[in-house]
Amino acid sequence: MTTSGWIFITIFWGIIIAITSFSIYKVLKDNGNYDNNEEQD
Amino acid sequence: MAQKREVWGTKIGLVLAMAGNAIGLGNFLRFPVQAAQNGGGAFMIPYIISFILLGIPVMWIEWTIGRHGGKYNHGSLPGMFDVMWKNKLAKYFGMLGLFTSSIILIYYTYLESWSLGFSFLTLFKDYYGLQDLSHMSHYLQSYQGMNNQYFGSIWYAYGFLLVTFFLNFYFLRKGISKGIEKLALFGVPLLLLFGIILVIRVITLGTPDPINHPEQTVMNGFAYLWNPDFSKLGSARVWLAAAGQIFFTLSIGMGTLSAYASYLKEKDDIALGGLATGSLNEFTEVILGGSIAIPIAVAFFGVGTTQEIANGGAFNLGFVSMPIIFQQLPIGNFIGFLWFFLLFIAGITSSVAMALPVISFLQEQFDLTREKATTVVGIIAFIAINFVVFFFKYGFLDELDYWSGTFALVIVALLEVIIFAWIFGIKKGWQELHNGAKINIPKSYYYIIKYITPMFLIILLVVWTIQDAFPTLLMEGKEAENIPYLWGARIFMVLIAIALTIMIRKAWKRNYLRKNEVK
Repeated sequence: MTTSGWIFITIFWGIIIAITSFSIYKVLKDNGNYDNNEEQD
Repeated sequence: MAQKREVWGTKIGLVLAMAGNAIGLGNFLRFPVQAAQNGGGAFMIPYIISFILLGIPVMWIEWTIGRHGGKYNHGSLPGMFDVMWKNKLAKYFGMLGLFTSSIILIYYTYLESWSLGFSFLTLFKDYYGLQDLSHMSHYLQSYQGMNNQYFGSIWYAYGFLLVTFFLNFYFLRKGISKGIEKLALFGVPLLLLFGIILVIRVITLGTPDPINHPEQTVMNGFAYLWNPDFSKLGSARVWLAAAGQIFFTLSIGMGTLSAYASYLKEKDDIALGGLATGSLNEFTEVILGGSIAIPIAVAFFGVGTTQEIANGGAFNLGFVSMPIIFQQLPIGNFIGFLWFFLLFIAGITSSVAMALPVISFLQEQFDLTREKATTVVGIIAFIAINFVVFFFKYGFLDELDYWSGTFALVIVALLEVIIFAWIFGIKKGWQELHNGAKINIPKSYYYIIKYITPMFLIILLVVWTIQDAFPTLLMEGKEAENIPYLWGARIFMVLIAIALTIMIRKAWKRNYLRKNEVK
């Protein structure tokens, strides 16, 4: 793989992993029964 | 209208169901082929730009339209458009959302059943011994009923179709939280697990034949996919391919995301949910989907043959070349089973979503119970799917796929964006999107949604119309033998569209009369 290939894979995998982890973490942190939403908020 | 509306059980259940809806066969088959054909690493530049300017905005719009419609007990686009745009025509524009999801459901279930069938054929080594592309291609065609060389008839494929169909409607009958959500909570993590196992297996393959083919390595497979060919960035075709891929991968333009979102409550978050769904889809597509089929194909066939396979299409890659590779791997039948079963899970978590808008429509507009509505849709879809199965070799499925699964999707998405940003109004829409939001969406999206996303879609629509729609409409290059069947497919679609329009008209008339009776 060329240097630019490595740069591309690192950047794109990095961005995708970062956003996915952030958003799934936030969802899990706030996870709960939707019926209890009002209480949680 | 009096039925109590169901709700999702948990937030993670909803996000996984939405992700399952978006993640489909295309994540593992279409994406790697598109990336390989369009500049490898350089393809990712327009791909990510399209994700930011087209994918994520339309995803948020569909969630917002859905949750807003749900407040008025609407789970499908006719009702959702009607409450956002006080115009008699709005509900008829919404018909297109029911149309796309219903037609795609009909043929997608059949494609999905191939994955189930091949997962067992692989596990039991049915095609072992067929070690070249031509024989394997005949094997697939035989499974599809195009020749009798390996399967005496279509009934083998038909059996797997029946099982697939039964499973889809089993989960749909169970409802939102007990059916679709349970399927997603179990299916999506399993899909991710299978995907990760497969990626690890591919990466650890190294150089399968170091003596005769030292250049055929997994690393060269990654290089083929990721080394950027910047010369292709100047090509409009590459940008369109990237935008198209984003469009298909996120399942936008079908009304299925809106249908799922309609089962949210007014204050439930949609901003974070939309982002989580989109990013999980990208993880599955770029990181898992991009690290299995193409790298392994390069390691076994070399770059030149992989290019030819990729040019032959996504199913050529997944169902013809992959089985040859599985035969050469230790416990390859098990690895192959994981691959095809992963495709099956990706398929079923999408196809249940495709059936939901029309089921919700029948429930809400005609007061049917979920069980009754599911049975009605199941029977009609089953009758319709027989045309797809038995006329497959004449291009019936491809014709449905082009008009409803490609062209109409862009029209529906464009309608959604225009109704949301220009008719309902971006100000109100922005507020609605932020209602209960767990993240702050950058203000730039206010303008992206209003100006850039619709422009993007208009350009896609115009170019696709000129490039593909006219030649497809005129049946250019089609075999004379197939033309009556292609017309059949068109008449079939027109009849479905007419039937849906009549039903919408009846439903609104019925509800109007009922309201007046109450007064």
